[in-house]
Amino acid sequence: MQSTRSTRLLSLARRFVHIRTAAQSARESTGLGRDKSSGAESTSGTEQTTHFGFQTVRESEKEQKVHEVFEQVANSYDMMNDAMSLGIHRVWKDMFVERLGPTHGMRLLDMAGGTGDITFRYLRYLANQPNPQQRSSHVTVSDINQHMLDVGEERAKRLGLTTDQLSNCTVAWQCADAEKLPFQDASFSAYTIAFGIRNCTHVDKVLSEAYRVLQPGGRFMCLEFSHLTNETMQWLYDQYSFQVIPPMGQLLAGQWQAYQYLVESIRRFPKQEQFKRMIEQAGFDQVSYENLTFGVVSIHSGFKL
Amino acid sequence: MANVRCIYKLIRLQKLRLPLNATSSRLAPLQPRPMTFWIARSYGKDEKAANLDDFRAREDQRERERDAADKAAEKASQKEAGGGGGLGATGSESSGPKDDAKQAKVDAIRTKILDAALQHVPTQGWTRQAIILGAEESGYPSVVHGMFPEGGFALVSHFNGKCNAQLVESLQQRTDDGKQEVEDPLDFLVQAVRQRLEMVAPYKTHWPQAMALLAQPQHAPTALAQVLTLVDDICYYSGDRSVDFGWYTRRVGLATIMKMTELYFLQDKSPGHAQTWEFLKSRMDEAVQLQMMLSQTEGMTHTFQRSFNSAFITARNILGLGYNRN
Repeated sequence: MQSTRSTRLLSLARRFVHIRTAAQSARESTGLGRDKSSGAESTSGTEQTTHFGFQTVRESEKEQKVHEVFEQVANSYDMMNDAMSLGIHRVWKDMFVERLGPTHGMRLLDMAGGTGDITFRYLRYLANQPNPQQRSSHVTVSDINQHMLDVGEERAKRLGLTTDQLSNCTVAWQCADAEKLPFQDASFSAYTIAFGIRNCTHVDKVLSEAYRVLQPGGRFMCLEFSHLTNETMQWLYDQYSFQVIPPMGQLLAGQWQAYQYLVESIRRFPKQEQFKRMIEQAGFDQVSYENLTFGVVSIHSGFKL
Repeated sequence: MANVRCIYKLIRLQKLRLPLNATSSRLAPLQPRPMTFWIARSYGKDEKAANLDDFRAREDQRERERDAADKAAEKASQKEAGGGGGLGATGSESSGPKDDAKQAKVDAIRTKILDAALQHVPTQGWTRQAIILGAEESGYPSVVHGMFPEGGFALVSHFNGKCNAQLVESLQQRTDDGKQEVEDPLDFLVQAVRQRLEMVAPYKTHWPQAMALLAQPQHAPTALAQVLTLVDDICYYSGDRSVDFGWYTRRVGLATIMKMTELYFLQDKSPGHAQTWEFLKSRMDEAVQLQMMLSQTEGMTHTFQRSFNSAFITARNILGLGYNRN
């Protein structure tokens, strides 16, 4: 008796949520879907299509759609990260910066740095290292979405990690597209991109731009959601991703579609070995990857030698 | 009658319980057969192919088939993934020599950085900081220390490998690449160990740190491999061509003596480390005496040899060497 009543309540709640999101997506689709449908009629080979989650969109549209997704989630980004990964994303990012092993004198480009998680860890790591030769380091935080950078700058001010407040380290915030970086050749010694590369339309262009801006000996590091090694665990992870995360996004941040896109884009990203080959094709040497949490995320690393 | 049948049954049961090569059975003793006979029996269906060469040939054939199957599977998976990433079939075929060239380039850079880092060991110890300083000296940004995730151990194993290669070259020259007869093998061993330890002398202050790094379990495979190949090379150039258990005992014995001498060396303050060489000589003499004593008590030697053998096989399995023809 009890169980049937609770399942009925649950299905009611689900229907309620679906109605709300259907209304939202209807609002969205009137704005964009018409373009998409008309575009589908007239495309027929005039422009390449790419994936946006499980949808197929034109390449010119993907950037716009990704931009919108992050506009909507920027304010609650950090809180949602904590909720979705149960706080484990902090450990992942800590391990990521540990693997990079920052040293004084390093010039880091934190691509898709947005709210600044990797940057702040980098700055704190440097603050804990002795600096006998008083070398100065630098980090440029870059993101395609200015809103995310604004949130990051606010956090930096609150944490006391701006250029004025730090000794021997400068921080720059720059809005840029990963496929067309406005930086000079060989101007950074390390390039990191955490949870950003799967949102890029042309991953190979991002990799070749990374190769361009790195100096000889520079290191490329990428932290990204990836594929689990174990079939059963992949199934469990899929259930969690598709059944729990979008409703959680709706309840906590009022965004269902954005988090639906998030979990779909994770599935579309290439597997560890294939991504490693792509990095090698861009010209990097000694490319390796390390799975964290059974492959939920993976750290790829390559050197420009 | 029933009693006799019971006794016969008991005798059969006892034969089964006894180890196969027991020689002390008071009942009808089992003939001690060589190990290869049991292996061939479990593999071969025809009783004619019960000798070692056929067994080896069969194993070689099996391994070649397995390698071919692995390569085919790898190519298949590469093609299906490479098709999505833009790599054609030609890419995977011509990647052999290109990959080797790239790997050689990376190895050359690694060697360059570690060689430069060795100069900083007396001040920094066997640490990541030494690697960073070495990298900066070689003209690379400090971030390349990420090429050596094991940190200080990478430096130690590189140094060990370098010294081992140097020693082997010197031994080759002395014995004309193993062809010349060595008059006094014992003295040869002592000289070789002494030469190897003297290479460590410049880094003596921080050598305890290096030994601690070598002792860590996550580095055991590499450390063990280096020690065993070194000991094998020394014994080979001293003229050891044995094919019995003495092969194992001699090498394990030499490795033990080397480690003991190394530990003594660390706390030796005599001029020119004279006391260390005396220590080495007396350990070698003891080892010879031990071997003479063992050979005079034939029965007990078997047990000792088998325990050495099992330790060696365990070490070999840790390294995953197994039956590797390459």
